[in-house]
Amino acid sequence: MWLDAYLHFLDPLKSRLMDLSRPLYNMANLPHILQKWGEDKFASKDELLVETARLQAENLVLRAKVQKLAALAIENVRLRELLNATTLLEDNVQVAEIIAVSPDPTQQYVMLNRGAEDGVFVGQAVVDANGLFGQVMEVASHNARVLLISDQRHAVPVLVDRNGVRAVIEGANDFYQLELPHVALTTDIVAGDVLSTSGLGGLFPVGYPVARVAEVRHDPGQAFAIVKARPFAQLDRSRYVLLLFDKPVAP
Amino acid sequence: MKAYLVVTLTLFLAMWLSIVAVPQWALWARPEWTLLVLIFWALYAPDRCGVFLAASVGLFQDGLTASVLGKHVLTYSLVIAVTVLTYKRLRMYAAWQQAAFVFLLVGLNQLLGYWIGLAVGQQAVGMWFLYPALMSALLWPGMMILLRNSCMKAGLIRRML
Repeated sequence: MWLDAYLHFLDPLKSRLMDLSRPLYNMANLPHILQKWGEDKFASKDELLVETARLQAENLVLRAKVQKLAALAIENVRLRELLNATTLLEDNVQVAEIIAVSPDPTQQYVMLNRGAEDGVFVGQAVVDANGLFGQVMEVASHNARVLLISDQRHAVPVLVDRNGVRAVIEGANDFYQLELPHVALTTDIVAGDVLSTSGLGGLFPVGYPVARVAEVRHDPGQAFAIVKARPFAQLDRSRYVLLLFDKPVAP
Repeated sequence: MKAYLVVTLTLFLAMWLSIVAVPQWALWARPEWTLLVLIFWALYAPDRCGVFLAASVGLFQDGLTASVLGKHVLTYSLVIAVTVLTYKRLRMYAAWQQAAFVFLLVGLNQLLGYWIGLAVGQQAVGMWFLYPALMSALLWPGMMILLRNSCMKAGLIRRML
């Protein structure tokens, strides 16, 4: 056990075990598959029409945003060339489905249906539609385990979007609340601030939103401010997540 | 041969139950399914289920639940060792007395697992870790009687007493 906790030479054995448990995980996912099949087969025409209308409206809005983004991206590349900085890569992503969640209340992870065969690697960043989701902690050939940002073993280097103040955000085994430890009492951080990845750890790419500060408390008895934040990612609801293949670029 | 098939099937069913998704609030109330089934077989067919099977199942369970490799190997083999040492007396007990003993066995498993977890950096959770032991004990009489009677009907385990 100590060997496993502190060294890495047992990792291949662990991924073999994960390969072995794959059919079991697929079986555990059966209720969802059945429910989805039922929904697909028995969806009424009205519902489908409403859904199509909603998606068309969303598509229009997103296309308008993309037009604006394209212009901004070109401008950004020019400015970066002027600054002699490396150009930011286009985001290279892969969609993965969550097939199981952690059965253990002291750990927060999910299983994805992509693995080493799809190019997934340990330490890879994972995001969902709203924000940073977690990082890959174990890889088998067709599955991967993703440690959520809310696990108490997880920490992300972030910065406040408003003024660039750096901090580290830690999980607390709570889907709805993250904590910022060691924030000085004088730090300019207030409730409502948006925290994004700073890319400083060398693990997560720059600029993905992580959480919104929910509460800042200055307790005279404490050496540091007590700061709580609510993650953007829907850690307990997302069904599909994106695996990011880009190496982080320094800010 | 048939008996081994049934042992394997029940163990797989228990493992499936131990990873099937439940709501967040019910996570602590999940009984230790795999260990319960192991205890049952160690109790009523100690010639088929011993410490070695417990250790192998523990290794598989480690892979299944992403715990530190060897945690379930150690705890399952210790609990099954105690069960195999005491099975003659345990079989004589009434169902509720067995349930009390199962509470101790699963509690031992939980306590050891919790200590190992703490040693490798898990968060302390107070006495919550004993809830699965309580649920397992509450579930034991029903599960034991169902499994024992169906196995006896199928002639898989000898009638004792």
